[in-house]
Amino acid sequence: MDIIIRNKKKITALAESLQEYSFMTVEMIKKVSKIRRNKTAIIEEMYTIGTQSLFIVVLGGLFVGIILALEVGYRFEMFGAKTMVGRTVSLGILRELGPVISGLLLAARTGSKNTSEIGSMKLSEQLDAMRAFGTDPVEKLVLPRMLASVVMFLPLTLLADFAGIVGGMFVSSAWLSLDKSIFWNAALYGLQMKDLYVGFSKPIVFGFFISTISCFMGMKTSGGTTGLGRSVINSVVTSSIVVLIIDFIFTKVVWEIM
Amino acid sequence: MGNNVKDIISLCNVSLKLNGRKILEDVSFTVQEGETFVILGPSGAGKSSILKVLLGLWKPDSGSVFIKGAEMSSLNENQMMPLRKKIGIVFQGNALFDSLNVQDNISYFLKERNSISERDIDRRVKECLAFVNLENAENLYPEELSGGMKKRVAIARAIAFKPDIILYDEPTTGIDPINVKILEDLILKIQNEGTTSIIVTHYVTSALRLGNSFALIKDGSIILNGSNDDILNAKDDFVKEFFSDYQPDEKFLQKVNK
Repeated sequence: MDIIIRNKKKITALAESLQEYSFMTVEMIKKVSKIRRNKTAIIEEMYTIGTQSLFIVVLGGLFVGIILALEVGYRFEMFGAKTMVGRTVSLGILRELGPVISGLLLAARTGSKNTSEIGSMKLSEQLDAMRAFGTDPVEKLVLPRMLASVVMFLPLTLLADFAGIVGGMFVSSAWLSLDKSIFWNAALYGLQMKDLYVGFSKPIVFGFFISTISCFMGMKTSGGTTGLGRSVINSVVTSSIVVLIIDFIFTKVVWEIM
Repeated sequence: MGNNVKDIISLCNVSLKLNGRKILEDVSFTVQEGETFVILGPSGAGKSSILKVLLGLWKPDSGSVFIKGAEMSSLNENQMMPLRKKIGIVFQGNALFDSLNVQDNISYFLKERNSISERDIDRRVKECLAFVNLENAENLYPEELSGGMKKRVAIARAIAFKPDIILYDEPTTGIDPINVKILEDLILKIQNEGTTSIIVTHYVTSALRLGNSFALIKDGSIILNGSNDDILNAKDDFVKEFFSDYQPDEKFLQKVNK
């Protein structure tokens, strides 16, 4: 109880932010019907997310696959279970590591871009200008970014997953002397439909939360350049934590339900 | 207040606090159709806050704001949009979109309204640029413009959709004397077309050249509201001090005598 009283201000500020974030999100969902009006902005955002994040996400996925194959490969070899490497790598990457690593990298890459862009627009009164001239910044700035993220995060994650599994295969072949066909057989054999459902749903949910949180942080920016820096940091940290929490919820709750 | 048909804008006992700090206290004034109302005061007195309250960007804690008979403070964001479309604003920092060139900055809000064709939009942009003497600047980006040019683009954007009311937030601040004269002439030209204007400034000479009626604000409260005559004959020490450097020229005295 003492902790609550001592941190009353912080708790109130957090509750207020959550409330404002919820209002903004509801407002944005109400505007989803205006997709056609904003299709150019959505396509531009999709292009930006796709082209600018592809390299970092694929590179992230590739190294996760390589490290995972090496780590499990050497341990499995001790028990004579080297053939299980493919299965472990594919399951680990498709279900957990691929979406999480991609989510974290995209939270940093796309989230910081959203917050800094919208934050500097806020500081230079461009958001006020939009509202003053009768245009809704949520419809014009948040909605396109959210839709573009939801659409683009899945193919980016799939490419990261693919790069990770291929990386794992080459490492197994080169350093563990595991035949590529054995690796692939194990990798595909161990997969179930629900692995794919869970693995493919995560990026869509991450895309929604990363984009809305980063846009919200941008819209709340105040305090000049220092404030903008603070907003970007808060955006990346909050989005990353939310990615991990959602991943836990998917793993524990959704997996058990399915 | 707010009932007179000629009163296009009325503020009745408006008070506003932000983060516990008093910004406006019991502010009341009316602006009639076609009038140019100037709000004067030292920096930080609350002048720009009045414009934000007028546009509904900030909701007052108490009091009422009437624009064309509609009570702004009782409307939600969506209900305010049609009213805001009748008001143009020139922001202190111009609030031009950095990523758009001059042509797109001016046409942005025209396109948003979906009421006129692309060809008419282009024609209107050219008209507005000609009005502010920037015919050849349409392909330039805000970072390529001087302070005075940016201000003129902001004015062109504000008049593009032929608003009934234009708000100017410090239109001549930070501008060299030659450009100040150009901007003042532009404002007078817009005024002569019958547009109601509210100008916020701390430059006495500009204010007296442009305004028909005036309000002097200090620490969030209006301490003088009247005509040029009231200003010259004021007994209040602060008013006298604020206007102490001003030497009325022949033209101004003729205007007062009229």
